[in-house]
Amino acid sequence: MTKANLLSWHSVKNYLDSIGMISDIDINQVREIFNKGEILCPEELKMIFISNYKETNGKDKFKDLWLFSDNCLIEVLGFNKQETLKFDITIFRKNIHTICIETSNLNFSQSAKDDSKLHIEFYILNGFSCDQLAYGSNCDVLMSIYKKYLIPNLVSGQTSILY
Amino acid sequence: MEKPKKFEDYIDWWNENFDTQIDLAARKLYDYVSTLVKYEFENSDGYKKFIHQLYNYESEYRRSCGYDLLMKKPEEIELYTKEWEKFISKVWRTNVVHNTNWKKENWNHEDCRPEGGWITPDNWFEEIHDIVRTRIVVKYFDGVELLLDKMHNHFEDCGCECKPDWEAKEEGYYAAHLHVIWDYELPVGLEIQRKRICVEMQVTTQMKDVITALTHKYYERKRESLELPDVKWQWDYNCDEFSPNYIGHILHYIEGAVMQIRNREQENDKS
Repeated sequence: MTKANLLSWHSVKNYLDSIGMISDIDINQVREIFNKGEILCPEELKMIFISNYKETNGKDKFKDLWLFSDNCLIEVLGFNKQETLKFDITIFRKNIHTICIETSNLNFSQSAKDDSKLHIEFYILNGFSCDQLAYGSNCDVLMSIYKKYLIPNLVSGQTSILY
Repeated sequence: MEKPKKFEDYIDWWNENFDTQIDLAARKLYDYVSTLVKYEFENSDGYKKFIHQLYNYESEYRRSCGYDLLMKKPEEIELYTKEWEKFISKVWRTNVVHNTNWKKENWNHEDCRPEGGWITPDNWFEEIHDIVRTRIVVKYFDGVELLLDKMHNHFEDCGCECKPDWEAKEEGYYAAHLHVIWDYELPVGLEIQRKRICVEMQVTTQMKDVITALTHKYYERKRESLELPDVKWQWDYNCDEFSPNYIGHILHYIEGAVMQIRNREQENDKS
């Protein structure tokens, strides 16, 4: 594994710029989650995704945050609205049984447009599930997560009754 | 069909009998929506101005009667989100425990729905009125009505729909609630849905706050039981309800009597 594959704060910051996150409060919260995620995750972090959408008044909203390593994911729901951060960590490697995809104004063979939307839900055999939403250029990031982390780990099997 | 006897059984019962599912995704959406509503309400101009206005209400009240209105400093008042388990328990109580249309035989969705209809994952954010709530404690009985009126006017001026609710239960529970309703935009799949969601602002007195804290666990247990006692609690002095319920009524009476004494003193001072 090369150092370049690892997720650095510099690359996280570039990602935040690309999705239009400008609030210092939000950015500081991501920084804190990233720092804690590096300690909590048993492996090196490789990728970050933050779900975003646009309100009807045109305002950008940021919802949940995920950090991916090769085998694990860390989920922080409502990351910029929580007073005390709650991290959910699970193993997804060879563990995903269903993926549901919805799109709007998105052509998979081209880059996302400003009004493209992508919604992906995936279900892990241990009962965990993720609901990820992307708007605009963030759809391309979510598509790369789909290709890199979801599809290779899709397997058949029984779901858990834990949830 | 038998009623699911505990709220823990309710989720399985619901998922077997209805199309909309209560699953992990529903729970995550609930956690997000309750957090979002708390965050947006807390950071709204209307709520910030209200906290500021509380100082004015305090001064106004002190000038009128010489007593303090509030028990806490306004900035110490906090908003809380309802935990998922308590939320589901409330849905269970509405759909099952208090459902007078429930039939053991020939059970069907249409005839056995509760008054006001089923609470489902599609409508529960609008139907449950306290997913976010706060409690403001005043010192005296008359502070409850005064503050509720002030809050009502303030939040209506901010463009919110407001519904006051004066609760007085046989079990000795007295409380004044203001439901402050506002439109929140929620992402559901690819769509942005607009939901009218309520924040419950409770106003209570210092004495009632004390008795609420003492009886809270007891009422929680009672709410989670389907069984009705053979004897009315008013006639069973050994039952759990007897003392806390009557203490609730007695405190309400004492608070009213304190107000009578206070008002007479003020009248005597004037004359």
